[in-house]
Amino acid sequence: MILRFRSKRGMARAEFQPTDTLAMLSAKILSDILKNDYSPENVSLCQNESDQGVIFSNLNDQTLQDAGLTHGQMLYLRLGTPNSDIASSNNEPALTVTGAPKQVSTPDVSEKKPSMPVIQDPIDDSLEKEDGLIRRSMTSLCRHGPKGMCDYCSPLEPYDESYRQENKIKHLSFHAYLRKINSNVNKYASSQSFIPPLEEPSFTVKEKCPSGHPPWPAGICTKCQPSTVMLNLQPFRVIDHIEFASPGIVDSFLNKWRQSGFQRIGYTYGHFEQYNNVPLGIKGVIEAIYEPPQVSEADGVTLEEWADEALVEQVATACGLRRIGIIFTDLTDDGSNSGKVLCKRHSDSYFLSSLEVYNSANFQTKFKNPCKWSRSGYFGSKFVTSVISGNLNGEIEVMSYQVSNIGTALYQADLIQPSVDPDRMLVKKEDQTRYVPDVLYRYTDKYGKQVSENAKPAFPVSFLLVTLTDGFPEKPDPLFSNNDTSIITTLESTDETGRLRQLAKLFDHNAIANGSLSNFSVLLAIAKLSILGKDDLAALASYATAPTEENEKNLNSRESYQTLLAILYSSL
Amino acid sequence: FSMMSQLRSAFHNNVNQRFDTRYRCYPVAMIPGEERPNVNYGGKVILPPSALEKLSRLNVSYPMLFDFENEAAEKKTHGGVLEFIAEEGRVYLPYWMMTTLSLEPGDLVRVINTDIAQGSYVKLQPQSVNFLDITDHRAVLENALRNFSTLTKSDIFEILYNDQVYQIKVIDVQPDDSRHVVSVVETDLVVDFDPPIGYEESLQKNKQQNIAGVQGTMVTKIGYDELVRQGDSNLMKGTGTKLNGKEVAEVPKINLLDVEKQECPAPLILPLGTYFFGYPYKAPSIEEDSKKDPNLFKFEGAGTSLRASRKTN
Repeated sequence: MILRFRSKRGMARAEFQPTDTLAMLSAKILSDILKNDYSPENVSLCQNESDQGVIFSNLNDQTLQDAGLTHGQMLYLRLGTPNSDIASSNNEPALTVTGAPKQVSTPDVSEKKPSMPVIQDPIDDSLEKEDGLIRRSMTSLCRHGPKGMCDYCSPLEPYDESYRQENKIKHLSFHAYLRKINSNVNKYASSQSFIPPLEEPSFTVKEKCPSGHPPWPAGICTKCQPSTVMLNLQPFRVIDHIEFASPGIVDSFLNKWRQSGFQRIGYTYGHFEQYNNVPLGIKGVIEAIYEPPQVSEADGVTLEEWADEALVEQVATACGLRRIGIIFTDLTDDGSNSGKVLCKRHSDSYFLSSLEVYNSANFQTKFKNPCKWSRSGYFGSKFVTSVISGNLNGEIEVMSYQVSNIGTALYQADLIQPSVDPDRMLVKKEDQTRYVPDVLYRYTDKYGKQVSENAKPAFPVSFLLVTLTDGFPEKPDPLFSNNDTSIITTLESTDETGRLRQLAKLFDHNAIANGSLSNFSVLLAIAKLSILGKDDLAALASYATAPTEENEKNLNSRESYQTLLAILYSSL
Repeated sequence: FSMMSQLRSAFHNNVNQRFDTRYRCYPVAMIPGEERPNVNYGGKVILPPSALEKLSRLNVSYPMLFDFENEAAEKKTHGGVLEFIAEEGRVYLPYWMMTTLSLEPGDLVRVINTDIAQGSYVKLQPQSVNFLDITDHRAVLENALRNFSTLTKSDIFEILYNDQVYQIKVIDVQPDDSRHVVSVVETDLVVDFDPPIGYEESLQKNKQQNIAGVQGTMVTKIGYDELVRQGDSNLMKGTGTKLNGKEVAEVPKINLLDVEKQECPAPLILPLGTYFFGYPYKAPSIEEDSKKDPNLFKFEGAGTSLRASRKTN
């Protein structure tokens, strides 16, 4: 009798006697058909494709006739791991169950996904739910009724290039850019076979190169060396717009400069909102500026050790704010006594000096933007650098920038260095600890031609910059009604009792109604007494910014608040 | 007796008689013969010989000074006479004088002999900043004023120095009479200057540069100037030699703005969190002013070629 065998190695047939035993059959299959590539434990004999079958080593001395096998019958061989693989991997005892063979070729999706679920900023989550389409009204070319739609009036994608150029939007918003990239990589909004569309640039030599040469600097290959860095205008910006909740915030920040002529620096606190002037845009709304310890000079400012950082962050969180960025003044009176300042930052000189870009790259590396669309779980940063300087008319103006992702990656790889020329960044020289890839920048020359130029030893800083727009709201609705920061200096100059007395005056009921507590600096001073807990601070913050009855009731019910009041009143 | 009385009457007449004649005026550039630049940039005119004859018969004081009057425009200025070589009926005036009197060549000008008090003080105002480029104003002015006999208030006269014409306005004269004129011949004159027109602006600009460049403490703290000097510079370098064979001491002076021209500026290594703003100030170019001006004349036109271009875009 002839039996046929089907396996993943193909079809085979063999002749047997009906009186042969199953053990004889298995021996013949292993030697003749499978050429001794498999051990009896890894092959099983099945009646049809779906069943699990019997492993060869378990086959008994039953005759073929008794097993019910007939001439010409088709049997299936389920093959496990071949002997060669077992030998090379020297693995644990061979699998006994061969039912679900391991699929080696299938890509391991779990490896590419970030291991931890990424918690994105709420603004990012809410923008992801928007479709972001740019609606258009009917045009003269439309030949349909008011409820119809055609090519001329159908909504545009948020990343539409012509719309961007028409509206003079310098960069795509981050989410519009994400849609654009993702539409090429994945089917948007389908979770099947997800490939992260974004990748943070990295210019360091990859560790653990798979090609098996000694690690850098002893050896390097094309797989582990960073690719050529091409500097060009970043097509997107993570934040599109910076808005100061009220002009008073900037004004009180400027007062220090007005009084002394020394430059000041501060961290901006606020929150992110959707920015409607740009499809899927994000704006940072600045509610307060906190001035950390610093050394002010007429031509510079130096940040010092900041002991209160955790406390300030805590108060900010209690107020529903987060750190948005940094702001500093670069103001020089032009000597005309007309209140005008020098225009130092313009297209002929620089917008952000190489030193400032370097500092901002450091901040942006510290404050990364969590993003689930990125391979690393982070993408870019929401940290914004604002400069207060003179514009072309000599007026004081705020200008906001971010450093591009390539800029921060260059900083992280320790490839750049600020120079004495504010407009140029240096590329560091290669040494034992640093591999420097080729860095090129591309620009349009005076003949209107695209030219690539080697960025070594120095390149224009503007290639690392992303420009943001900024402004003030039409109807200001700031969180804090008072932005006077001078209270901190007043409080610090007095002793403990004087400080308490000062604060106690602010807790007068009428004063609260007038917004005496509605000031970031005051809340900070109260928090410094370390009487209130985290939740109490939040309750106080909501009462200070909105002195309603409900908030008051909530606050009065708290024990620690009553302690605070008792301490304050006792000082009066 | 009759002769005596005749004489006396003649004398008497001469005293009362004034030199008062009308001539057709022409710029000195039209004098036949060689060009005489010192005449054009002076305060003296050229009269015809008959004028000398007439003047010599009169009892005039020396130096001879004149009123020049354009009666039609009611404009007056004053001056002396250089020579009497003009054609009859003509007077040659320096160009600035004709401008002051708003005369065209061939117009009538009234020339009256007059006495003018010696000046003690004048105040002048150069009409452009480039007058400040002259190193020795005093010598130049002394030399130039030799060609002048009088200075009249609010006149703008011209002097020539180094092939360059400088316009100078007379702001004030002392003693100041109703005619506002003084004689500057053989007199000790105190000369005072007003800042030239446009000087305030350039002063302002310099001041701004000084503000941005000098003020500030961080510049010195981080040694910015020294760092700039360390940068690789492709500026012209070299030494000079004096004719007497001595070496010229090389002055290592680098304009801070030259940092832009350095191929590889020095690194500015400061601790993180340090912000420095004391870079050399560079004023924005005033391009937008020309953009704003809609009346700005520009050449326009389209070119044509005989053969149509094969290239299509």
